[in-house]
Amino acid sequence: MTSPAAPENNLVEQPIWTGLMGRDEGGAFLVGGKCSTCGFTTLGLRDICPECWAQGTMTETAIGRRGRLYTYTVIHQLPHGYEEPFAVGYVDLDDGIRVFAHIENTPDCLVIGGELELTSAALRRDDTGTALTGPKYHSPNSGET
Amino acid sequence: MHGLRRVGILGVGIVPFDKYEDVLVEDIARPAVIAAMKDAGVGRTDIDASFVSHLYQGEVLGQRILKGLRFPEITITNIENACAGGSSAVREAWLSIATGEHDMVLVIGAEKMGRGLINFVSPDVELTLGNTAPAQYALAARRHMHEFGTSPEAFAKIGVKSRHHASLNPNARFRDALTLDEVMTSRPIADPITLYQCCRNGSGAAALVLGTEEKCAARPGPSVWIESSALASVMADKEQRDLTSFGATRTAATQAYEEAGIGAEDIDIVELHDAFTTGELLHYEGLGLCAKGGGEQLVSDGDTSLGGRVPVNVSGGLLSKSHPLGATGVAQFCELVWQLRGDAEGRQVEDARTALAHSQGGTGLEAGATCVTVLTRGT
Repeated sequence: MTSPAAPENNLVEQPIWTGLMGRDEGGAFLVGGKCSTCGFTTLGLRDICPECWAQGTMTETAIGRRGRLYTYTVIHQLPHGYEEPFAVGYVDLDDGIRVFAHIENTPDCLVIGGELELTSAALRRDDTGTALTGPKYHSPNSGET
Repeated sequence: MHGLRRVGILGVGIVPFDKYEDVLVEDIARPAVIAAMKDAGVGRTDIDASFVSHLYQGEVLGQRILKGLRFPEITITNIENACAGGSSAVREAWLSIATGEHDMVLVIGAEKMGRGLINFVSPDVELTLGNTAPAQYALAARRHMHEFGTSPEAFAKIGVKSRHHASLNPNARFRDALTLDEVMTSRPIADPITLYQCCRNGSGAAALVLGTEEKCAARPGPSVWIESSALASVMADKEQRDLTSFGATRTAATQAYEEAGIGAEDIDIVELHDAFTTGELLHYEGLGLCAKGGGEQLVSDGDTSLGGRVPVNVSGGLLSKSHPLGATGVAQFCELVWQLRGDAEGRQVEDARTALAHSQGGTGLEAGATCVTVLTRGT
């Protein structure tokens, strides 16, 4: 992935969505919630379990490290804050959840059914120039770039 | 549903979609109301209630429109169901008469839009990560290509068809013919979708007058009946689902066919939600016009073109009419009523007796509403 130059205001980067990602010795992960009552797993930590409706029973769990590409597109008509076309897709996680995420825009990563692993990357800048980071998947064979 | 009264469409009116930059939304809408009331041959004191669809026009739009036409103090309900708001309003109006609450009801769909990508108001992680409306339909299309070998040209042919139909419809906004090459090589939006495979934003309005069988009998000319209307939701929550067809389209269609006592093979003409060409192809399959994976064959054989087995979007659809969100679903009924009456001059589907309207809206492929309504021609 490309690293944007540090902006002048020293706010180098911040998450694009608070509470979406974490990092531990195993690398980047998506924050999931697992219900201690029924075991249901969600993307994001939620107050109410969508399955059994128990409140306050969801505890944080690391998900989303690996998955397979279900589908993808390259977005050319850019939403606000983006400067060049970028690839996105749905990734079917080993955890049984499907997530929308950025995908490394290279032929070896944009393969439906292909294995992908999660990284944290600068996705776009906000209006002050701060780089906003979020989930981006790439092929394990493409190596860290 | 049992014990429902029969409901017909007595009058239709449309304000052809365009920019209308210097016109208030109330002023855009009123000529559509007047046209529908004149077509029905009724006056404001004949109307018991109104259901009004819009998405971005603020509070009590229906009241704002109708006070300028000096309507009495009738029941008015404003409806939001994203891009399926118009069809949802028609469905509520139908039910309110069918269940005996009202005898004659006015439906209005009106919207005034700006330019560019639709600006979703509700915060959503996918939208924050850069997902867009065309990208959602591109993601579904790419999976369809992967599973069924569908070519990018199949989608582009729908763009060509749309403009051909629009060239025959004075109510359409973009009426110049396009070649397959022009569609394919237009500006890329979200691969495989190009510019001429996307509907444009638009402003405009459409209105209908619905009434009981007795009210319809008073109007000269053939009646148009609402046989059934089904509204289904998508409530997926990050599940690994099949995105090569829209579940809510399948569910709503199945229910609408069942309640009308017909099958997909009985449909003579369709107006469906072609916000993007890829959506139209997937909806062919969801509505049962062909088997799953058969969308490319259907469009390549010309089955969905005027003169084909089941013409789709003879009005030009959203692609060539543009898309004023709340008005779009109502406008589909205007075209279908003209077709069923035999009044669609220059684009008439021969002997059209049974018609289907389909519209879809939401904030993504995983949260939304789809409405399917079946109409028939009476005597």
